[in-house]
Amino acid sequence: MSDLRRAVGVARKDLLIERRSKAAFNAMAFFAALVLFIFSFALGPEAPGLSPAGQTLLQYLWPGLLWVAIFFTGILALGRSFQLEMDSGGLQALRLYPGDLKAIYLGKLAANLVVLLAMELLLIPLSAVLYNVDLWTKLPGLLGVTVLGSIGFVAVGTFYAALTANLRAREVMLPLLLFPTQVPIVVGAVRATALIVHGDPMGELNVWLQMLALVDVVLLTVCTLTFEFAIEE
Amino acid sequence: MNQSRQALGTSPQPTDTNAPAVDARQLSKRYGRTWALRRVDLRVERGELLGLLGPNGSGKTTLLRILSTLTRPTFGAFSILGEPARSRSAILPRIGVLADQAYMYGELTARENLRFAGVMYGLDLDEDSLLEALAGVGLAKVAGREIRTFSSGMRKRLSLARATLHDPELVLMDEPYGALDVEGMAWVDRFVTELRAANRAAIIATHEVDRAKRLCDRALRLDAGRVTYAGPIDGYEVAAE
Amino acid sequence: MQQVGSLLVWIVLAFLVATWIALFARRLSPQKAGTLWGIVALPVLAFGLYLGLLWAPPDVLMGEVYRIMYVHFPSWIGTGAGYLTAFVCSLLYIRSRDLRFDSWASAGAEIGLVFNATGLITGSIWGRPTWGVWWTWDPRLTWTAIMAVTFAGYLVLRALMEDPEARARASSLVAIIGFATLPIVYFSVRWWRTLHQPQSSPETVDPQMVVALRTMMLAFLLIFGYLLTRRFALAQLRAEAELAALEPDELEMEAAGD
Repeated sequence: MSDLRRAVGVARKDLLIERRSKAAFNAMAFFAALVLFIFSFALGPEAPGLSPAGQTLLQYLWPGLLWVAIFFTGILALGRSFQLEMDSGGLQALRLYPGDLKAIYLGKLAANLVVLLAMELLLIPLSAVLYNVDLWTKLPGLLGVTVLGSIGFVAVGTFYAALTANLRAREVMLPLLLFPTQVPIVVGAVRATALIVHGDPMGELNVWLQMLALVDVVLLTVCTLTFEFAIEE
Repeated sequence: MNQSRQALGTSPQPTDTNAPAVDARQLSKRYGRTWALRRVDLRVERGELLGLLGPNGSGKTTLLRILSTLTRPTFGAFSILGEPARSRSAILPRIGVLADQAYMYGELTARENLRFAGVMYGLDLDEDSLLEALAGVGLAKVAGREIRTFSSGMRKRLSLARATLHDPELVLMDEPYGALDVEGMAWVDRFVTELRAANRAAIIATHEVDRAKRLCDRALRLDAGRVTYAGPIDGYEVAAE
Repeated sequence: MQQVGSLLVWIVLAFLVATWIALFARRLSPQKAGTLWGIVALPVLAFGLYLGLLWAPPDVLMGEVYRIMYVHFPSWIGTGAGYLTAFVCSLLYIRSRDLRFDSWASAGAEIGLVFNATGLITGSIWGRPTWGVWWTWDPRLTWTAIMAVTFAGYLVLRALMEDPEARARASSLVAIIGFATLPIVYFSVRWWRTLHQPQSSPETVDPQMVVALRTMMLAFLLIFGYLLTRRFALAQLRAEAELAALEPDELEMEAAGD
């Protein structure tokens, strides 16, 4: 019970710091907007997509582009999450408190998830407006995919951010270690998003959502069980 | 200040009241090619203040890290307040650590920092007891200020409040006087005196031999990880500072 | 030749099982076992290459080109064995904090990555005449590429860390998380691709090819064992060099105690 209080305490503390400094959120929002513009420059705003007729390439590729943007911006939040612990004197500060260290993992994870979801709440409508994607009627389904995909990303991301917090080359190591584990999340999330936006004639969406949920459970379990070793120094 | 906090009933009752505060044998720690500690024997009784002396890099911080369960010794064994080294969850609620770093978050106010520490220690602190703890270190007036605006002396005082928030039976202090002005040092002195009055045990790692002589009962000197003096503080001579 | 090949496969298998039993009974040191495997590997490899490159018939569709599979497929044996070693020894390290397990784990990851690279390169060479491209997003090929990235990350992380214990702990966790996610990565990649192109149905394989392939797989397994023990020995030598720097220190400590 007190471990649950600790987890909530860590999450609230992180979110309070983030609300005051906005260090992660501002960087992410700016970076996300930049990425959206670069896609447009690289692919051409009016290049035609493959199907259906009349669609632009940006609209056709939107599900994939969206998740690329989410992953690249998400890295910024993850790195920041343990950097504020390093600023306060290191991970040992957290390890000097009694109780189960899993609580710290879950608290950090929850805070990262909230920051990432807030960024997505900005990114999804913005990209839809910029690329002329019609998704207002599809928002509930999109929300489900976004949450499921973000949980998997943050689960491993929080773990590896803790593991690399002490390294000088952490900005390189975090994505290098994290992205290979994210293949199932990318595949599932992009496919599910595409089915929602471009239509789902075969009714496959549920299978992909179930796959995402299953992957989330596996990643969460593995990372929760091993986290206490990740913050030893 | 400790009486009032004890009234909260947060400190777990010690299982073995006769066990020494620290009992360590042959503690050794190797980092890569160098031994930071070499077969250190150490015993601190309850209510005893030990001055941990020695030059920089002699292993003082390593010893404190091991005793606070942060680092595993390469070999050697120890117990804290009768609890074996392995039982982290039994040791941590009963010790307080005052480290070199503040362990505080600059974007949080003094009160918020303490409240977070209280939650993490599993304490149920109301606003009054938070303010009381801050008043104990003379920070009640700035309770609502973000601590990135604090001077290093104020931060140290907040760290003192944080380290004893849960009324620990043993306090480990690493260079408490480091980079403090005269007033800050006086606060640390006062803090140590209060520990003695409350019959707490403490290990104080410091360069300040004169202060250690005034405040501590016994001294332990480390040189290159080896114990070169262990005994009453009065017999400690400034050999080679 | 068919009978000789089959017999040899069984004999080598029996030899492998026997050495493993001897290892567990501690009648045989890993180093000696490695040397034995290395010695046995040479004739088995030579025989396997003869079977695969000369004796086995050419493929009906691909002709002589297919013979690269006698190197390509066995590479995956070495890859799997290496990564499995890394995973199991990482778990053992986290439990025991015995740095020898870390040495085994890093040896497994390194040797596994070498075989993984061999598999990817031979696959790519094979793909060029078969599909007309150097690289194809075939699910299994993609999966093995992700494996390579995972364990390359493991080795990069090790190269960045100096303290032996911190390095062992961090890299063990990378091996555990990386290996544990490989199955779900495999299924996700398969699902990802099957929507584009159906899996190719298994062809009927000539029994001669089967014998040649099995011989090569055993040869690669023996080579893997040999390389793994040598890599472990190298790690131990490095650790001993560190300890050698400490030995006089220890003596000095004893002297000071007198």
